[in-house]
Amino acid sequence: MIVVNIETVPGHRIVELRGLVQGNTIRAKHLGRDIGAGLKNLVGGELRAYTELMTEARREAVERMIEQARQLDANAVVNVRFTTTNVASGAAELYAYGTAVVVVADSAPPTG
Amino acid sequence: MGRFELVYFVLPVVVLLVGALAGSVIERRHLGSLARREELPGPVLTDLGAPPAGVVVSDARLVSGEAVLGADRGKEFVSTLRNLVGGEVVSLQKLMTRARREALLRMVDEARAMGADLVLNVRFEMCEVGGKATDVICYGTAVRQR
Repeated sequence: MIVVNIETVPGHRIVELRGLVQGNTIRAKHLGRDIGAGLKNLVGGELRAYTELMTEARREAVERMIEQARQLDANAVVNVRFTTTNVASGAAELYAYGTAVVVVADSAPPTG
Repeated sequence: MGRFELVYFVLPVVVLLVGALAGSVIERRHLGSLARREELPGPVLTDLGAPPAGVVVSDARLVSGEAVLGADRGKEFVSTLRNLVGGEVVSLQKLMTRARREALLRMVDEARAMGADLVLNVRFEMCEVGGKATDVICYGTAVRQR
């Protein structure tokens, strides 16, 4: 699956539009991580546990989005956007969305 | 000095000072590390949604990086004071800039690893996590130039 956040796939052309696909996840830290981050809050700087959490969340959201695109028999997702929301204290939602499309290489002969 | 003064006055001041001191050391180190890494050769970054006319690109791939940064006690204290009189909160502005630069550099690392020449459509997305920290996600489409 080709995933990009621009409107086209360079070197390819979009032959079919399969529609909007999305994936989201809401992650909360376990207590140990929260306590560690609480201590870290004293001195500031990067809160690695939270960074890891957001990285996992982003991967998961993208995976779910790709899964939807697969079900639509798409081979690429274009114009992907991320948005995040703080749903409850200690939990963050990560939402990824884009447009599932079918692309073929520019060199491929035109179909149908 | 009684226990009351110790718990309600001395302890918070000590925590504030230790936090502010450690925070400024961490900040200085981080700024040094950012400056060093920004010097390294890397892809050209743009928030244009498509390559400029005449530029032929291939191997497009989504790349991203994120960083969650929190304020230290010193910065929190200063921003609380600033809240009373209003105006620019310089300490937090610096913190946000650090978070964005860090997230951007991590995205650049990913782009560099795939041998990209350009990163198109670079976007930033921010959100608050855990009450006192800010998460920055930086993402874009890494491409090779032909």
